[in-house]
Amino acid sequence: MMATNIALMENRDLYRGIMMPATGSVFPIGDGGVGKTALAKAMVAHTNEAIKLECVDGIKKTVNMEFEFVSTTCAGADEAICIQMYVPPGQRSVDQAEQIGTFEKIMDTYSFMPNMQSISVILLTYKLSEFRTLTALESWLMTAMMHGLIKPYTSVLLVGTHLDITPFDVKPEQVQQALDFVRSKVEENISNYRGCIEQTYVSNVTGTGISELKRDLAELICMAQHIKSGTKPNCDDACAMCMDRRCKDF
Amino acid sequence: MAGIVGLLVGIGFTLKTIGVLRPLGLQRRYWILVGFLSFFFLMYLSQLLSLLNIVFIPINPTTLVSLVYLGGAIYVVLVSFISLGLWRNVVGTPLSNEKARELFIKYVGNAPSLERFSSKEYSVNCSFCGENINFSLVDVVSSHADNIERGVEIQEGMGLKMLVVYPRHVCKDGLREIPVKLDDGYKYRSHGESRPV
Repeated sequence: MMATNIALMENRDLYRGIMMPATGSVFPIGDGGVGKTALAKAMVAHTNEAIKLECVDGIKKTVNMEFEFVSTTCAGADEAICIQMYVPPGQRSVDQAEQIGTFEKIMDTYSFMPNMQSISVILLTYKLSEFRTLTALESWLMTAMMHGLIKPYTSVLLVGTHLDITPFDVKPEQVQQALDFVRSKVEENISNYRGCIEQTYVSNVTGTGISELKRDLAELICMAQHIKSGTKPNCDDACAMCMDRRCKDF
Repeated sequence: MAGIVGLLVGIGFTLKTIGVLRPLGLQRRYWILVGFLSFFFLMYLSQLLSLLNIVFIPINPTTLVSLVYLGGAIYVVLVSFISLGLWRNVVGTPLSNEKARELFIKYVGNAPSLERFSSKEYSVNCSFCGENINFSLVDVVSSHADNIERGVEIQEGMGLKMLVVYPRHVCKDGLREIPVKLDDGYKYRSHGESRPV
């Protein structure tokens, strides 16, 4: 018992992962190779000072659900926001074939987890340098809705990765158009939807946009909790989400 | 004698082609060519044996020559037919502007005006030879007339649509095609590196 505790203390991240309950869960989805795993790792490694660039080196194809635990703060919240990130594989099952390591297979395996049934934020992830990955998000969005991952309080964030790779294949107006599409589909399929649908750009390599994303996620998770509990946030005007997001309706 | 050697070489090459095409299941026509070549080979061989007085062939030489000519004619027709299909596959079929636009609409769903469709408004550089290539959508459709889905790729979703067209050009090392991205208004967006056909 003592030895286990020492081992846990030595592995601080693991210890924190076990001992600290997550405030909310984030679920990045999108085609393989768009940077879902790298995004989670970049968020873990990112501090206010700098990002550890090596954290995204040697990332391999995800064949199982990956778990990352990110701790951050929200302007209006009293306590740290603990984000549980679930990173599924980006490859899909074709023709219902029994393929190991595909999104469908992994969803079948992990759908029992209570947190999987109360996702706070869905990250629709695409590569800014590959238009095809943006159009593919339509099928990912439908899949997420089909698996019941989007609840009335779940926010959807469109995340453009590879901000460091130019030229971009995706134009800002196309992202806006895609955002409108997501909004219309979600509001059409989820009754009484109250989450936020927004977009952001990041670079997992240079760390650009990561701190903003963490802040956004913290705010959206807070917001999801308030929507779930039906309470008014106590952060008043200190919290940006109360100013420009839907929870101002409270 | 030279004819026999030539035919043996021909049969050898055709069998090699069959070996290449067998995994794709496209070898059937080439077996017919092997059949014809074998027929010529046997005719030549019998003539040779007859000339050397080794074997007596009870066929009139005129009939034999007529048979070889007939076989030759069928052989040429068959080879032309196969190569026509092959070259159509590689370089496409010249189409009229209207026909090309019709085919494009059938596949994509809509198309720019005929005037715009046929004008060479797109200009890209081949990443391999650096040559500037001007092309129209008619050129793209014509060069992929038999397999338009190979020349025009539709990327659609999230309320967005983009086309990737593959104009072909004769480069230093043969035919190459360049992936060119067009937005839903058929305006040029970007192009990638050329690749051999």
